[in-house]
Amino acid sequence: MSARPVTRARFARVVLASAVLGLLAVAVSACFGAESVDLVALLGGGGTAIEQAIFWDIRLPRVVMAALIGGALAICGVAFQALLRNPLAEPYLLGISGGGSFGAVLAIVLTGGAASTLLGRAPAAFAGCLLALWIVYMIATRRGALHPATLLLAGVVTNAFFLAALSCVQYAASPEESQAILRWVMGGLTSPTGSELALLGVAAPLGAIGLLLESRRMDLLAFGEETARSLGVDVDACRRRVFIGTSLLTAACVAVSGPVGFVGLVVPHGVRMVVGSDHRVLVPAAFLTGAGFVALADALARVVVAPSELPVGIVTAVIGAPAFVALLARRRLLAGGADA
Amino acid sequence: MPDPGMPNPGMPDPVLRLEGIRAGYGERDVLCNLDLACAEGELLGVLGANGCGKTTLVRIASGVLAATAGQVKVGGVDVATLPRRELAQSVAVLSQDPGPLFPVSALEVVLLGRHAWQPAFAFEGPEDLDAAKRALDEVEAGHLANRDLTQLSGGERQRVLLARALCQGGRVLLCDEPTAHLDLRHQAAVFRLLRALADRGRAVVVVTHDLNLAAQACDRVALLAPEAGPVIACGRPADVITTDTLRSAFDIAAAVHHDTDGVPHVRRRIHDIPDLPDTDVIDVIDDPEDRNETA
Repeated sequence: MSARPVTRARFARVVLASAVLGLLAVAVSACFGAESVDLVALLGGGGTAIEQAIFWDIRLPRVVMAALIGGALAICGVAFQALLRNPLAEPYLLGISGGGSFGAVLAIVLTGGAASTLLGRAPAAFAGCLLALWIVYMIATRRGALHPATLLLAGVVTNAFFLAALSCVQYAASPEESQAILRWVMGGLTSPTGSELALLGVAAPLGAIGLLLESRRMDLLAFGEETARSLGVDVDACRRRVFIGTSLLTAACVAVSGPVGFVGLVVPHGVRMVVGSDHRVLVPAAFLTGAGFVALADALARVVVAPSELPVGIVTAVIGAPAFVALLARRRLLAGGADA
Repeated sequence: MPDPGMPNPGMPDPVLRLEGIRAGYGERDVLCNLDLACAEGELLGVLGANGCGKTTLVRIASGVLAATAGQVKVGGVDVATLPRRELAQSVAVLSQDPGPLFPVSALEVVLLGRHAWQPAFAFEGPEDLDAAKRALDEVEAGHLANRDLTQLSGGERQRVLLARALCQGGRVLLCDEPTAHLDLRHQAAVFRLLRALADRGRAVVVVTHDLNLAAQACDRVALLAPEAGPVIACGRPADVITTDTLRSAFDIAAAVHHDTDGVPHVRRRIHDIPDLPDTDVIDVIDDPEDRNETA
């Protein structure tokens, strides 16, 4: 490998290249669906009124939302991997998304549907995410050491617990509520409401900027807590900021689309192979390519069983699960974290 | 009576002072009533048996672990009151690092040493790259700049991490077993480098098991007690490293010779360990009835 210090020029190159890639993916995704559209003609003002309506009112908001969710989940994965010193950490696998889903579903059912608006779901999801993260962290850091295997098991247990709790709530819900909950929990994207788009439109870029500001500290934390401290990082404050930020991001995604898994695993590892491990380039590159990844996954979800569609979470899981196995098989990745 | 934990008269006021330190993990004290100081321009060796608290001492001195009693002062300021960043500008540490999580080149590792001197989010400029390359050259690791740290041998890795501590700068350098994993040549080279760094004005504390190299390079050495307590002895190597002190510190009867320049030299043989605890030979058939049956 070659040494790749992050100079201003290199940062600009990486961000530009990933932005082009992300935008390209979004554009391709926007062309496909139950009705495929001619993007070039539409942007030129051509096409029928129905085509115009499909594209601008239904297709594009949905693709943009998929992209924002993809970007947000990808950088959450990056942050969790660095702070928990575990290459397999990811909001979905750690049970954070599960906690958020439970929070949101509980709020919906307890208020008899009154909290089914975004304003009700989002705070409940945030509370659920924070609770799940706290539980995982408490289990895994018993006696101070954050062991990689323990952490994953803690995630599995937390996820199982919240899914069981969610099933309980679903069991008590009416058949209509139950059906809606089921679709949402699988990680489905529909055309977003204005407020959903606004929430993600604000949260995702802000989260990306926030994590970018923490990126150098993440480089140091990936070397272990003590090393980070001795090199000048206020570890506790940094960890607090990043955990709250990632919980907010995950909650915003979960509140809008339900849990979408494996994005935070596949994208960061893929991007790392190309741009290296330095978080100053990894965070923006993962955000932009993660956006493209979920936009394309959503296009697949719309096309594969058209005119019906799959929840996007199923597509990302079908791609992500083999990637997880491949990562497990690469001993070096785990060995790096095994002595944390 | 001169304080044994303090530098020799004539040395400037110590920049690093540990006063009445008590520290440990949970209920167990590892260090107790420990006083130690190191002045700028001084190389202080810390010696002692396994588990006597040498690494704990480094963690305390670098502010990574809080002492349960006593104070650590750097330049007269209590480290507990210093922000991390300012502390990192004064005190650099070479610790027993768990290593990186993902592949990362040696040059990138060394550049992490610049963190305390850069804004929270910054890019590497030419001066940062120069500093990192100089640090790598100083530890004879310039040729490793592009190599992945996780692929280096233990000794190469150790040198790269030392380069990171050099790149960090500061008035105090703490090294926890810098010669671990190093071959003969590089063990000597590291001590020569630490000596040079002290001569250029840094306060250098080195925790080591290599008594002979420490005796040659260090201005003073401190011998920690095997049980939590004050140091057994601290002072010039020739005064501290004696058969008697080694017996109390390591429970070994080692011969100490002196080179022509008066530097002590420890020679030990495998039979120098005086009283190995009597090992009970386990008799499998110790039950008389069993014995009868087999007989």
